[in-house]
Amino acid sequence: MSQAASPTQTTAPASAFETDHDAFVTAQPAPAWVAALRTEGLASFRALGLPSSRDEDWLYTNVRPLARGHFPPAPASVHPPTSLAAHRFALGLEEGPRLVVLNGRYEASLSSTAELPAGVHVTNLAACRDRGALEALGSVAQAVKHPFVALNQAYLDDAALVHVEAGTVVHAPIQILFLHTPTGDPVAVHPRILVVAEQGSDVTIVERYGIDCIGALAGGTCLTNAVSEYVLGANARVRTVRVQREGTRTYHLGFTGVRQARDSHFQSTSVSLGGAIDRNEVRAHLDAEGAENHLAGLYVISDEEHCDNHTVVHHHVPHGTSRQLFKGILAGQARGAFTGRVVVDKGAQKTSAEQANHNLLLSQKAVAETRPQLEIYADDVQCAHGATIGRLDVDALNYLRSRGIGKTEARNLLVHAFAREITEAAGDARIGEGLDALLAARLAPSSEGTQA
Amino acid sequence: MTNDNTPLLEIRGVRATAGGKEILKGLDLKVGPGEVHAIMGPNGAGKSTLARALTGHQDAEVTGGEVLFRGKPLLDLEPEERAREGLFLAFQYPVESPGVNNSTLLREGLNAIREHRGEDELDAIDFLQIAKAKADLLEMDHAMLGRAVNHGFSGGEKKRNEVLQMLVLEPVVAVLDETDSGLDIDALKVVAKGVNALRGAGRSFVVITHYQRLLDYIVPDFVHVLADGRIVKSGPKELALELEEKGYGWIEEELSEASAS
Repeated sequence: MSQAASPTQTTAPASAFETDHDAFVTAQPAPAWVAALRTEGLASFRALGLPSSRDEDWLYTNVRPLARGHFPPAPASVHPPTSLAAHRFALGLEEGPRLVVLNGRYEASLSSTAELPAGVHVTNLAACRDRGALEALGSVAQAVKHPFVALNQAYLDDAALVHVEAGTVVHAPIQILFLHTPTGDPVAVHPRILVVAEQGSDVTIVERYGIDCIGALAGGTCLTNAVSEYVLGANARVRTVRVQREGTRTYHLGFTGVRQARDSHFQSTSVSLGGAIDRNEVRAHLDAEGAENHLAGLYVISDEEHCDNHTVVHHHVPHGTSRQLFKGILAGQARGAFTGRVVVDKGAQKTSAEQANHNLLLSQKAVAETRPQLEIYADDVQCAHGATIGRLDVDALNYLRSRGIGKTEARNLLVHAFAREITEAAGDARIGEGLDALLAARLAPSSEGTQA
Repeated sequence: MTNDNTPLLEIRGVRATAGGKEILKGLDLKVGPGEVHAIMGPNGAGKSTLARALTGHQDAEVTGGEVLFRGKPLLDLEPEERAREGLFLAFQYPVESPGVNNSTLLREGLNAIREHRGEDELDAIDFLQIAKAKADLLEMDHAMLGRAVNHGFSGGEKKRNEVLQMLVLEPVVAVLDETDSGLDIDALKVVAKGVNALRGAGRSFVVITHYQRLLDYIVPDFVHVLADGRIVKSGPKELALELEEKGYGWIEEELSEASAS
């Protein structure tokens, strides 16, 4: 690689991610505690290196295009924020609290945090002069364990921070939008979210990436390397909705780390609407008894897109509950993969864990891979998994048509029906409807390759 | 040219295969406006294949003959086009569609049919008003409209839902494929009530059934016996009673005597 000019301690040539770091640090000075995290992240990234497909956890996703390419940190947006303000903040969430991060930088003029109730603190990292309440940053997503978490930390710039005090119930979903604006050359952004929900609090977080794929519309290639950390106190309830819609040329790597205290309840709904490579990881730790973890995911991909959902739910203690439901809709020559690992430690008796992955193939050439991995070391548990790969039900199609509904409309109804279980899992009618609308747009005939 | 006496449905020498086997072997049937025709017959005679062939189901392949619907050829039309022309099939085994809302199915279907007729699309509110009134007629809970199509419905609920669809879509010709099978007497009466509510000069019914009992409530103008892929005997409604009493054996005997002589 031409970018790999400077020598490093490792024998492998330094990737552009390493050689770009000095320029980044110079261009984006940060408080000492952030600088220290960056240095630590870079060191971990050097030590871990980019994963290869020989790595068990990266069996289905080849990140070589990232090593070959050059993805420097995105420059500040050249578009005046006003042009983006007109952009639809869809999902029925036009109003309400939101944080907007534009090309990796918090954009106050597009954000709105005034109407949050007392007890909720929403801010961005650049506004924090000292680490203060941010002790948790890096505690759930640990740089030493994961190369892309390390990379994210190395390029830590601005982050969205949500802190909900004990007993605070936040009714309005808090939206966090990570937007990119078009550039001619490939760029990288490393979004970061930290959500701390203290004991007995209740909050919904909506993470959105690349709203209406501004960058992709302009033909730009982008790497999004997002890390989100969720820390749940005892009896806390956190719902997250994660929508990735950055466009067909994007490389999106998402990592969600979750730590759950006693009786806490975490529910995540992720919707991936395509990308050159879209990797969606969840690492959840049920640290105390009575914790409940629900992961739902939907991926809708076409053409030569690739989506890989990879989860690890770790039951460390007894009486934990976890549910996973992931669904793929695959058209064209798309490849979808699901790996779901459930680890039940020796002492984690009375664990109840279920996992399912269902795939709907809309074309002859689409490929779905599914790999449940149950690692159970306890002997008194209920664990189940199931996976299906199928096509549209011909009888159902015929039934709808026999009522006067056209073939295309009937297909769309059935595809939506397949997806609805996930969009409904978001648990909020407005968000569910918004997700259905996004899905309808994705499945529209103009979306090349989706119609099999 | 159509006039008041043109049959709404005319089946001429239809042959059809299912699963590679010939099931219909030259079937003829003429259904005039306002008439109710009952089709009875032993298992395997071809009753369900007839229903499927009429609606364009992929499991029935028509290999010969023709079907005229209101004087126009039917068999070249797609299933949805047949529905829009006014043909309706109440399925013997209604298909479950988890995730497809019952009222969405009905509204999309009704609006497609209305558009075909050059009528305005109904909005959600107007539609719901119609659907609720029809549900009331069938003593159905309005909540059924909001549920997934047939998903988790009992056998009786599924059949009732078929009749609800028929009432909403207001077809010109409705084919009921064993809609009475498995129903208790109360459910049967409700189903019959739905059918009788639609009966009128411009609308016809083909009622496929195993049991004469249904015909006590939906009184047919004609009864036909379908055996070995053909209509082998036709008669007035009393024929159904005779079939109930004596079974189908005597018809087969009658037929073999006729062919011997």
